[in-house]
Amino acid sequence: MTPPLTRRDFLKGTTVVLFGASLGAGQDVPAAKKTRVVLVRHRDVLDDNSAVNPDILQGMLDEAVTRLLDESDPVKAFGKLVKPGETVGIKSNVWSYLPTPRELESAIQKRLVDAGVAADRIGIDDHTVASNPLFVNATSLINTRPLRTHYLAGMSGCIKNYIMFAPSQEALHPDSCADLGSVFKLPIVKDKTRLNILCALTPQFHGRGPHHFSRRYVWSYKGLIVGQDPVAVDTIGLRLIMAKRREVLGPDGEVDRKALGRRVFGKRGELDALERIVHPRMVERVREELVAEPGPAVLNAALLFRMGLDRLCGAVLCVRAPWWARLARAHQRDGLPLWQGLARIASQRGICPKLHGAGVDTYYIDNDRGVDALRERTLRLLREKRLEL
Amino acid sequence: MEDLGKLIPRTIGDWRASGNDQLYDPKTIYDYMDGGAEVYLAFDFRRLLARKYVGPEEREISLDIFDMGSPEEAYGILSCDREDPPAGIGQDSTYGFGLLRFRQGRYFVSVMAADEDERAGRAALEIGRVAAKALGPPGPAPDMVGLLPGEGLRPDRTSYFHANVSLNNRHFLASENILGLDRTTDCAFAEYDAGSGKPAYLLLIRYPGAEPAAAARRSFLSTYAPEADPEGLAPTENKTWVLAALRDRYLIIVLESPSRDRALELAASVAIPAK
Repeated sequence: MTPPLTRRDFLKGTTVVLFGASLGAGQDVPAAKKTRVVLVRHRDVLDDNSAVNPDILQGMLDEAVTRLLDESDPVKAFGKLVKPGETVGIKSNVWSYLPTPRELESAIQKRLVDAGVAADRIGIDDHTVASNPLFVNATSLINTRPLRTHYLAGMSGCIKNYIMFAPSQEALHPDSCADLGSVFKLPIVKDKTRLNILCALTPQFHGRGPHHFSRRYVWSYKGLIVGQDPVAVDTIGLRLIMAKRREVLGPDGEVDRKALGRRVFGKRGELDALERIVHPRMVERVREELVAEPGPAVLNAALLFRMGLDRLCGAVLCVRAPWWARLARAHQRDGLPLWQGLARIASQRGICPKLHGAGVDTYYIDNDRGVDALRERTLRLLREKRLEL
Repeated sequence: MEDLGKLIPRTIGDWRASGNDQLYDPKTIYDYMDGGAEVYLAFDFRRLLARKYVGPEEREISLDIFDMGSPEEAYGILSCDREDPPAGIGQDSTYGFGLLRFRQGRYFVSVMAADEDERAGRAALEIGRVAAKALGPPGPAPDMVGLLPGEGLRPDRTSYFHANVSLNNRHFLASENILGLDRTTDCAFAEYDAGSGKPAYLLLIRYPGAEPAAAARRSFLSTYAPEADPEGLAPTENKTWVLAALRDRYLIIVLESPSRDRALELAASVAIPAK
């Protein structure tokens, strides 16, 4: 019996050995057969509102399938997958927050008809596939769904998409849905899947709340991942999600501030969107703190004026530094290359007003000679202006 | 739950309820939640009232009210997935990025604006405030939480649950249920500031009797820390310590402790009630 995998196995780095042992124990394992997975992306498949361009998506599907099957013509390629006279079920996904796009279903349907399958013998379904007569009688299946994370399984891909064929979905949920692969042995499914299309137009890389969804964690990747082996297709999808998580989230699932900075600084639209979300909350939090702890308080905020926090202050000390010093510090402290440092400086333009604010006394301190000089200048100003800390 | 729906206005500010309220029970919750249902079924989930509000630009806010059977169970489901700052609505509320969560009495409430922006966020908070008023008086936290040592405890990272699925979602321990957790076990899982920047963890489990608690300790040590000394202490690969200590029907497990002494100190500080 294989011992359970524990957290300590990951710490020891023996996970691969354990998995290998569990797969190989007492069996003659045949050499793995190579399989092909095609990833196609197109920058114009989504517009600014994430609406799908159906013609471009059709082209992406055609390119993926022709490359997958070494054909020059998409209709011939689909002709290798299905034959006229067949009954074909398209197992889609209707999850309300991130369903399979209708444009993708239509693109698949069109090529099946082009390949000679009668339109009335093509079905598209999700929740009722197990009892849908067309799927029960299907001779071929096309498996398609969006790529996303999943609360229990970790990821939802082409393997997870077939859970609706199972007599009991609950029975497949224990141990992080480890037994999902068994669905592919059910008679309604076995040996019928001709193509797996993992929709990565707007994948979801993290989830939260009861529905495990927030549009914050969806990004425009504009891709399709296509193959005949669902394990291989999902593996590519999983790598994509993991790469995105590494880029945006830290090791504990918290926001990686450096990665967030790389993403928004120098990109006005992204920065505006971020500030619209976090600034009102930050101002509210500061108000609460001031009420909870009455008395003199210091707010250390680079974007004090932009956030409107100056309205809560009795006086403002504006600390300035020449651009070259800020560039050097950004490099030293955050490891930013020259171009990213310049982009950050550009995005911070106007955070320290050149004219005194109408509602608050504003004083300027130059910070061009290091921490000791800054401290001395600050204390001197506080004494001169009789400001209380 | 139907009556509860009548107590919550169908129009709140610019936002109107869309369609009829939907009700789900432990058998039908799968129809509504993809992937998360097990997490609720691992508690004493009874019924769910789901309502959608539609506002300006056809934006949508989901109001989900879960009847968890008791205030302790409502605390449990809330405590297993909280990461945002307090919102001051109902009990133990958290709000971040368009998602408000709180408990009130035996109810756990989630209000979510999928397309978050400032306006939708404000509306989600207002819907939550209105709903909280309809849910009756507040309720207590589980007694297990009160047994945890207070010093260094991070209350916002403390959770209460029963089942292995909840433990592994919170802190993966093993691919199998090596602690024998089920609906008969009560667990409190807490994070403690360890001074090293990384937290130490304390898992306190109450079993129905002393024998299953002892069996669980044996199972844990043989699987997770076979090299442990007679006290149940062992160093781990990331230069921290693990401890499994038994006190009557309580099993105390300390994970990722920065030192042997800190592990023993944490375990000794658990306020196990006298028989």
